[in-house]
Amino acid sequence: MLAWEEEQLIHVGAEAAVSSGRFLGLPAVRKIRRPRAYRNPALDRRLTTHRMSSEAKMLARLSSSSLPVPRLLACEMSSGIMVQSLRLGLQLVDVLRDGKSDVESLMKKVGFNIRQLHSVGAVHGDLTTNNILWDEQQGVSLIDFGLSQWTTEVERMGLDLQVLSECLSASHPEYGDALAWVFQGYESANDLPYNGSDLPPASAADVIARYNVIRGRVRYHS
Amino acid sequence: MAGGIVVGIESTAHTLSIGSVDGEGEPTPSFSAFFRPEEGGIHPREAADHHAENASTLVRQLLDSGIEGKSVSAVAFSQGPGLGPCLRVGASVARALASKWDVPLVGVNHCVAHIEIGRQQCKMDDPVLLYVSGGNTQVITRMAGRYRVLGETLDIGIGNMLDKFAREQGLPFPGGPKIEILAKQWLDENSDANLDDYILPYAVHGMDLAFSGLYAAASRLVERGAPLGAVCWSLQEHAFAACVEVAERAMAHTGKRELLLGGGVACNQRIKEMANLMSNERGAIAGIPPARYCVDNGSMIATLGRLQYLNSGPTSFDESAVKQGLRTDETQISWP
Repeated sequence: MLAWEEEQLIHVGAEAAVSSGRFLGLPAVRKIRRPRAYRNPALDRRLTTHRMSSEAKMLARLSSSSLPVPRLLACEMSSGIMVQSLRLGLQLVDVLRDGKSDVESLMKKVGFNIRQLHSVGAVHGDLTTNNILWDEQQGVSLIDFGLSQWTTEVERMGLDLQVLSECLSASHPEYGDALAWVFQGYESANDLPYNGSDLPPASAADVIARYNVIRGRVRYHS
Repeated sequence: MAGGIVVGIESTAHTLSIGSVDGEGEPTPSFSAFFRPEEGGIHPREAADHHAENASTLVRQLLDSGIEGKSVSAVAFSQGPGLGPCLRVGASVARALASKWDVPLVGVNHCVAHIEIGRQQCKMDDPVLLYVSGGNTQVITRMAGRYRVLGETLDIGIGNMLDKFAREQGLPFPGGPKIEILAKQWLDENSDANLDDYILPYAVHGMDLAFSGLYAAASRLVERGAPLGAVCWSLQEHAFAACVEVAERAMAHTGKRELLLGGGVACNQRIKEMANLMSNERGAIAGIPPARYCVDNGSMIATLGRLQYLNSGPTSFDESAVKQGLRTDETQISWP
């Protein structure tokens, strides 16, 4: 991609290597999904194509909303490369480990933004503290939509909360109330208009109730 | 005490096993008896009856191997998680031996034992454990004084999924090894096979997993005429890749550079190969303990029992009741 000027490698995740730089002069990030040698090649291609197209379509559709997500700038399926606008901020995992922020207010904002995402009929699919950014000016951002889905299924929304809950309790046990704060923010959010053709998304309270059902199904969480 | 032997008793599910670890923390292979149901899955009471019937034989084998009561410092047992009736047999044997030898009891967490024997065998410091067994599928690592579950199955364990599929196809328990053989045979005979001809779901949710949809879809493929060997191959490719992917997600999330495999499913050659490939690509190291220490075994209980006894002390008789739902992160880790 000629329009890309690389600055630095930010993160080598399980799915993609992410670097920062400029695209057509704009601050941007580039994700490269390389084939994973441990996966059967056909499966690897299928997953990569599916995840790239999910992410590209999701970002394109969300670009008309007010949600704090990157804009899609370029996508080249054959080479596994995607360029997105840069969202400012540190990964929540580092913000929480650093421990200098007002975590209660931050987690409420996180919950607020997750609910607004759900309210337009989108689920993230991978809500770990790596995929949530925090910046004093820009606020919360949600990134990394490779496992996202357009759906209003309450189960999928409950699963979003389960993934975040698992990550918070494992990686950030020092914030025992973190999930409760996320839920407060989630329930306090005003829903954005839903323009899809399915049944509209379940209420915040119903999604949290479903989360509790999912939690009960997981082993040793009676 | 540092020089004494610790005996360990494992009885969480289908395996009753008694092993030991010497004063230096070096385990010796266990004596084990496996409950194999004639048909269907494990019935907890039948498995417990099996354990009760075999306990005295295994204790006799342990004693015949040269272990004497006077050289034993403690008796450790799996306190949970697991099937209640099975756990109670192991705990009763442990109480009896501890009382006979007049040594303390140490109740340990079965899942944590898989990590500690793996660390001991593979000489790892701070690994991410991919724990794949019948009942459990978890990605575990140590953070803030406990082993934390970063990801886990949201429905059934991977081994249960494999066994269930095998059972439905008329393959005897345990089904995992049979599936591995059929998959390999089929691939050897069809080296140009394309996995796209046998598509199955791939359920990765963040660092969590799900397998029940995979099981149902694999059964449907067979119903629609796909060769059983091909479906076994596809089932392994999909299920193991999903496990290895969540392990990699956990490594990326924590920045850790050691991957440890554990649990009975870790005996499978294909998942070992995938774990090695993934680790190599990340510049990390994969540790795979010998099969006898991947499956449920008494020596791993002894290994953890010794660490726990030296660092946190024994478990009193009153606190030695089994805990079926014991979670990995409930156990406080007081050793390095």
